Amino acid sequence: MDPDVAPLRVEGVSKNFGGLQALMGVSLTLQEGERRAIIGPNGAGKTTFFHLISGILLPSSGQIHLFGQDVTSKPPHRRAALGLARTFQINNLFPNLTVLDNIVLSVQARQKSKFSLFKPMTSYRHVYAKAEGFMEQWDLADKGQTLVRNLSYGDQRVLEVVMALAQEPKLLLLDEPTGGLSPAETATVTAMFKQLPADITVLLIEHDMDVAFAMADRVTVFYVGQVLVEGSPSEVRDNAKVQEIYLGSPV
Amino acid sequence: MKKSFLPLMLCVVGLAILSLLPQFLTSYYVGLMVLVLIFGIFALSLDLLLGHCGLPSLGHAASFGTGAYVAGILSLKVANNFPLNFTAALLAGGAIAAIFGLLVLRTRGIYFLMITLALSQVLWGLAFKWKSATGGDDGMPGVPRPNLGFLGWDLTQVNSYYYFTLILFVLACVLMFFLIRSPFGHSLRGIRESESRMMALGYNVWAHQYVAFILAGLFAGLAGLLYVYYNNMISPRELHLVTSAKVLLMVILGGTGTFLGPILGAAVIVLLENLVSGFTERWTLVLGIIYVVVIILAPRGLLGPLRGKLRRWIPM
Repeated sequence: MDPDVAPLRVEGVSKNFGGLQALMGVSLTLQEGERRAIIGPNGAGKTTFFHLISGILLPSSGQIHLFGQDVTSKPPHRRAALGLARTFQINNLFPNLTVLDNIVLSVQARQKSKFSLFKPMTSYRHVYAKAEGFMEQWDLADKGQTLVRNLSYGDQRVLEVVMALAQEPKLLLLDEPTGGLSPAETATVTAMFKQLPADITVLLIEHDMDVAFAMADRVTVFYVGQVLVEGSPSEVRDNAKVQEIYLGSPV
Repeated sequence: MKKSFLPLMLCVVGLAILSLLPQFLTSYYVGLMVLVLIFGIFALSLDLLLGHCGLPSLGHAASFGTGAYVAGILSLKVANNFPLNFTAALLAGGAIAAIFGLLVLRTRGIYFLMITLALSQVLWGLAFKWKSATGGDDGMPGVPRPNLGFLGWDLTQVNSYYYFTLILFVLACVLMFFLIRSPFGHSLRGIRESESRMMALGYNVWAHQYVAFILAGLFAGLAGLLYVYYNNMISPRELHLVTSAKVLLMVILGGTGTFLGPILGAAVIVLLENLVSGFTERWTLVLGIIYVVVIILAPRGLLGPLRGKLRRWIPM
């Protein structure tokens, strides 16, 4: 495949917070439809890497290309417009709005009508129909009028992912989607990913190694701000350095 | 969502009561009602920022006062041309918001509060010192009310001025209601809840806030225009922190983001200020007690307890 149209191409990206070097020269390229997991211990720079891709933070050096376009210094909303969606490690929803309104805002984001000042929101039937479709699909239909702050943590975590899916992205970044979930809820969310359309490219940060290895075609291991290893799940699992980081070195 | 005619009927009843009021009230009370309507518009405009965007401006008097000064100075020194002065006052209220917005929207929370306060006090200082243009500390007396004689309207009469204000008040309410239930208003509430999520979804958060800031300025300019005509004079007080704080308290007292709340808050404070001050100079003491009681019993404002019910009809 022509590398210029890769959904994501990151080249030698670094990020410093004052004297702290959170990322040092990280490069990573995703092919269309790829499922890639990023694993690594706390403080490895995984979430910082997501912030750089989505534009919440700007890199100290290096370049980021989305779908062949240089977005290194573009604001987050421009990147989203190219087909990028992300979830957050800590739920980032609209707590005082209803579940339906949360998803409506997500669907609305890529419609021209979002700039309308005078027609009532509720007159955009197709936006609501789409949002209701997503609620139906992900088992939130009976909670449409519930305020998000009154949802259970598990449902909020599901909504966190549904919000990103409602953007109908081509590239989806998932930041520890199963974080804090019970085993049963983790199974639900993992099953969600299995249902994702094959042409969506997914980049996943995951602490749960079983989820990461089950989901991903390829795995990248971050360690103190650098890429330690990249390979297939079995290659990564058998890598001596990875085992050392996760299990400690044999004395 | 079920169709219900209840809110429409309540609007009609409310409007009927407001239009009949001058028949039952003495001119003093009609005058107070004029102030209620003016501050109702002013409070609604601030609530677009506070209730819908989550931006607590402590300098909203900047747009109110600018609208008042522009309308007053034009009417006194240029021409008492209503369409022209009306447009100029609104645009001035919006323009000063457009300038200040560039600076203040770089900050959030307590810093937003401080920078809006500081900038509006700069304007107040300007009006206070620039005697040749603004009349300085004394302000400018003798601002004539618009001449709408061709409509058979003598606005020097308090009843006529009340109806004139009522029409603009209703127009402002309708426009504001359209605004808050539009996709744009919806997006503002998303931004209030989480700016970073809205960015990630693909919204230009800054642009939304900036447009809202300017729109709030236009509405505040309208309130300023009505205020200066009503008082027949301009004074720097219209730009002062006290005015900004007063309108902020109206919104909070009534309940932010509830549409009716800020109007109710305006009514309570205007009436208290004028009625209680007839009995005692310490009317602010009474106001203070009311605040304490409201904060204890209804911490989210007078309409706070009704939020769940109002949500069906009012986007919040």
